[in-house]
Amino acid sequence: MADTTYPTDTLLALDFGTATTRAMLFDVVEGSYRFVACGEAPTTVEHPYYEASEGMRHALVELQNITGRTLLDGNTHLLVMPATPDGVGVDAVAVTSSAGPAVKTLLVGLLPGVSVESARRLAGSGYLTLMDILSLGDRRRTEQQFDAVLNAQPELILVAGGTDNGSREALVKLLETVALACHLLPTPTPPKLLYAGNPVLGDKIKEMFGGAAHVYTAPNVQPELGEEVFGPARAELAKILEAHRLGQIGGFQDLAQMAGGRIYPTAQAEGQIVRYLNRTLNSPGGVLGVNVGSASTSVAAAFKNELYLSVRSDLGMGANVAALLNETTVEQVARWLPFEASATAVREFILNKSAHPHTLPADLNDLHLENAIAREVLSAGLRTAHARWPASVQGRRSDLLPRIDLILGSGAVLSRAPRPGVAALILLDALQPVGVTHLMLDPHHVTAALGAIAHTHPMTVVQALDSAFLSLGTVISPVGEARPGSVACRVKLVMEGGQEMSAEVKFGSLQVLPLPLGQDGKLTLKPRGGIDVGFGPGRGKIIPVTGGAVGVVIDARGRPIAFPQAAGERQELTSEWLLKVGGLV
Amino acid sequence: MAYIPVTSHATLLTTLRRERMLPVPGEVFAQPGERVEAGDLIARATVPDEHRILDLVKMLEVSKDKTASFMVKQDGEAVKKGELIAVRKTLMGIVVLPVASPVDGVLMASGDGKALVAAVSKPFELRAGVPGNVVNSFQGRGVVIETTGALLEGVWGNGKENFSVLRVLGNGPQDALLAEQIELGLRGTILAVGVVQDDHAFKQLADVAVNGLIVGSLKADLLPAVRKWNIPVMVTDGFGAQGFSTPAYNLLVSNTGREVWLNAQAWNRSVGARPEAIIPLPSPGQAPAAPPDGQALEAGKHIRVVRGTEAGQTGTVVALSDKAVALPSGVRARVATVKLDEAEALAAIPFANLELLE
Repeated sequence: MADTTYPTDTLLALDFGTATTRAMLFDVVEGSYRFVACGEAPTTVEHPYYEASEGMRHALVELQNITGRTLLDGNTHLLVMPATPDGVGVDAVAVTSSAGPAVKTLLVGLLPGVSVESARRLAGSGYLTLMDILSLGDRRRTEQQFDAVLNAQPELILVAGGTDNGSREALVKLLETVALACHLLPTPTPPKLLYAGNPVLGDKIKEMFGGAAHVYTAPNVQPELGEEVFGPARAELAKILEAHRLGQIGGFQDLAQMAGGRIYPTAQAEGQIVRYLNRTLNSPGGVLGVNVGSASTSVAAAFKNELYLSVRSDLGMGANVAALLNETTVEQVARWLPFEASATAVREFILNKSAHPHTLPADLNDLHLENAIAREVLSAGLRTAHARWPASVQGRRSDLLPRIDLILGSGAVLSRAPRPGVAALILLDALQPVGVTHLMLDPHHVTAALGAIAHTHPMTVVQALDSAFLSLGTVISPVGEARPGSVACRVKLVMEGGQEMSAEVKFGSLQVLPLPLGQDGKLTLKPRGGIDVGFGPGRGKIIPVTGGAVGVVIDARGRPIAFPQAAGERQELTSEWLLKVGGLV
Repeated sequence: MAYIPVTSHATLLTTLRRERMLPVPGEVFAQPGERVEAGDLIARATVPDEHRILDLVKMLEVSKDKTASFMVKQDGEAVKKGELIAVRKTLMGIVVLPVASPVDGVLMASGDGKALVAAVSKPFELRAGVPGNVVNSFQGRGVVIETTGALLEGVWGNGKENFSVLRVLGNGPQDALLAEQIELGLRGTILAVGVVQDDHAFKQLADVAVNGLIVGSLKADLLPAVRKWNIPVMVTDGFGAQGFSTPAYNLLVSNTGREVWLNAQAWNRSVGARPEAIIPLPSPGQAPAAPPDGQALEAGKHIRVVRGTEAGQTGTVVALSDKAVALPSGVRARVATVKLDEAEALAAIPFANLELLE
């Protein structure tokens, strides 16, 4: 008789996105945690449901159908927890969310470029909409600043300013104006204020605002001039945003109870995994995690175990995609298309996608358009993030990424790509890494889930990583000046079985060497003089590589990627790139 | 597993409730049970244009804690420009230190050595917008008005609203606005037309002073001008040349000549506020049902396709797939088999590209 008992170490991760609610199951398989399956359904936190559990229930029903496991009680339709001995239900739940409107935020700092920049970086780690900034550099009269606060109607006020034991009076004067305005805000609940400046002012600020704002304090983000410490303030901000969402979204209170009291912001949870990967790799380069979502685009970068999180809550692939028209030109979008499209047609496509944010590409041209937009959305997200990284990690050129050892791509536009090569090419085109980089895809949207689980079940994360992500392959991106068509780099790949493959990669081209998923090999790189493949101009090396779903990619298209002026040639080239990465459907 | 798509309404007769709220607390005149017409004033509030902060310590030449004794106006009191707010007389009245209001408005607050004056040029007046019965009120904030009529929802609005007579131009849902159709007789109407693509015709429309525009689809390049337009513009279907869906067009044609409330508010998905046109209609006897929302996709449902080559077409769901299939784009998704109203053959459309049409 078959053993029908199940282990009881079952973990459920729930992620509430703006468009989609996902239920992901992790379980012990042969002594080790593995990702099992993901069920999804449209999110129901907005009109007409205003209740997260409705979408969650549909996602769980799909997960039940996929796995054959019963998770919901047959009578009450509620999640069974803890799991019963016969394998019904789950033992633990972790919840992440990026759903709900971005929180209207006012920034207050002393000096533009100093504490204002610190406040801006702190704000960049949450799902926030920046309404206004008050600082000493603000040329508006006090009355105008007062009106600006009233017009902003902030739900959150982030204050930074003054090093430890530094200036006090100037910040107090600015905050007096803010406090006065907060007393007159017509909003039903007072805003939340997070103060992360000179700690001696904490009590004074609480007193100043009285009941006009809920004041929270965090350690100074700039304790000394030139030194920034974001970790504690970012954690405090995450807690404030969690509390805000708990009171705002129907069903979240109950969910938080099931999940040990916490609903982690998705970007924060993803950041945890990016930092973990950076620590685990222990290599000189950084790790980059990008998520192109429906309402937002986030970029999490970790260098030397320090996390830099940047969330663009105003830019995504859904309702917020129209904001792309303020970021770039439609010609920049159209350059990625393998067919002719007028500027008006591209603009209309973007606006229609914004009007119908949950829709899918029906035919090939539709897919190419959507993916072209994704490249520019991701590129805009990266520009914002890159500008917020400290000079020590920005790289040697402002238009180039610093050394990144691993890129992890998330978001529906990547995960539903019909071929792994399509997702890889979107990442390469948008991010344009340099040197040697490994590309990974999060096909099941589990990055945030793992980040949330890491707080309570760290071993699950360590064990489940392999089953959660798809390796796309290693990319070598030579950088330097050369004539298009001239040899940029000679490469030789020796596979485990001894088979060899050599190629001369021409400047301006993209080559793929097939190395099956999981198979190891040795790659010999011999760049021409002046071309840098990651080890200095003209310097070659033999490096170990592991195959991915795409293979080993030599991206010698230049940085930034150069396009022919003639439309026909450009379209031919973009088609060729797709063909090379196996991205043609 | 149920799939819940967006529901769009092109409903011929329904019962609707709409909140009409002040931007800041004020005075609400309309009471539950009262009948209101579109132009009726239902609430009023003082919405400051700007604020002025007066430094009483400096102007009265006294310490912070003494300023209160020199105030001649109370918090909340109306003030005229030049009118005294506070005054201090010294040296037996020989030296007078006056603090006059710099603007017409209201003394909002005083204390801590400062006075805050709100400049108010005119009060904010809230009109009913749509005729109906007041069924609920929120003290100092606004009311809920119930009405019966036709409802047409849009996908984009420029944030304005108006109430006027509806006029439909053209002979079909995909007819484009032509410059030669625009004549003075359109002045003051809310105009409905399938497609607006022609820049010249659009400019002429602005010149003739219509009171609003309902358009099936709009040329994207006209958006900046439409945003600046001071009259409401609602796009019902999208951007491009697809025009109205047939149910939307039929609804408009059958109500031409009637009054319509065009509320071209932006689509706020969090709270479900959409750009909409409401045509008030009498409903003798039992009130019609409220418009359905949040229903699952299932066989027999009337739908509109919102993306792909069939975008803009309407039809009826015949069957739903259990499993995801590969679309021509290569993307895998569950699809509905749909009988389109304008086609013989059945079409397979991904769930995500369908809206329920009620």
